[in-house]
Amino acid sequence: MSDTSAAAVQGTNGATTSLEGALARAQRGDLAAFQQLIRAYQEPVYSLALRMLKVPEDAEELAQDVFVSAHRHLGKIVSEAHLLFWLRRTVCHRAIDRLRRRQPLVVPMETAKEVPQADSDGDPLLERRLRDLVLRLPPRARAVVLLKYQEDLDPSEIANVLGMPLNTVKSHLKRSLASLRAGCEQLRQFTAAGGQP
Amino acid sequence: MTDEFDPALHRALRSQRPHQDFADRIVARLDSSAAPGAPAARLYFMRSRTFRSRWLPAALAACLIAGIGVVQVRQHARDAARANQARAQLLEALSIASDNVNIVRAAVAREEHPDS
Repeated sequence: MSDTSAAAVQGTNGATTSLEGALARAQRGDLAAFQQLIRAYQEPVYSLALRMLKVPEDAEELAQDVFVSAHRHLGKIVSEAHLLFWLRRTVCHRAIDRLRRRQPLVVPMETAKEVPQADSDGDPLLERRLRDLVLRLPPRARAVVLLKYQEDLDPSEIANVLGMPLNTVKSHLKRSLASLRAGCEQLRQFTAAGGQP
Repeated sequence: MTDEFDPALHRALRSQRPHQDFADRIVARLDSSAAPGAPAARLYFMRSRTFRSRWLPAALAACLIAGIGVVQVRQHARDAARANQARAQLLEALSIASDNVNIVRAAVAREEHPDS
């Protein structure tokens, strides 16, 4: 989760109170208050959609649909934490549904359109390789990895969000991380041998 | 590699910001559909997951059963009409056969007793 969203959700009492107030007003039909909620949660929702679907246009469409749907379900939301949980669950399930309907996504390493990243203090080559490898994971495993590494959720929270048994989450994580590590190791060996990835 | 893997994965998957007007566009979308009429409500109902997962298959099954029922009723009516037609034809054939037997019997009787 981004710093701003994390602050909005877990941060100061003031921010939380502000969002709780916005939620209450949005539930009474105040669109400006709902806009405040969108701004607070747009990063996690859009990022999950983007990392799941890869294509920015598809991700934006899905994220918009999720917020529109959230607006219809505001009456059932009891807190801002519940709203974030609902948004994460909905965007993950809808992305998985779309990926199941879609042809398997082929992402050649050389030609994949890379989403522009903010400045990084790490190895950009390794990070790009990791993003490509995450896109090659099956949809449910991809969602598990994203919730763990993007949203910083622990396995039990991931199990709740995705509605899957805890052991399944742990198994997905273990297999996916092994696959990602193997892919990174290939890159390390390739670059050590003087080749281009 | 092991030490740098977790931080690298965190960095690789850090959050991305959508377009600046992302929230505005959603609010505009909500604004444009703020006056939900009956058609929109029906469309939403039909697009909902509950409808698609539970009621749509049930409705399709009901339509299928009703369709099969209609076909069977029409088939039964056709069979009944054909049976009635066959019965009428059989009765007519028996009647003709009976007439012929009577004619033959009369002819035989005349042969046996020409004087009478």
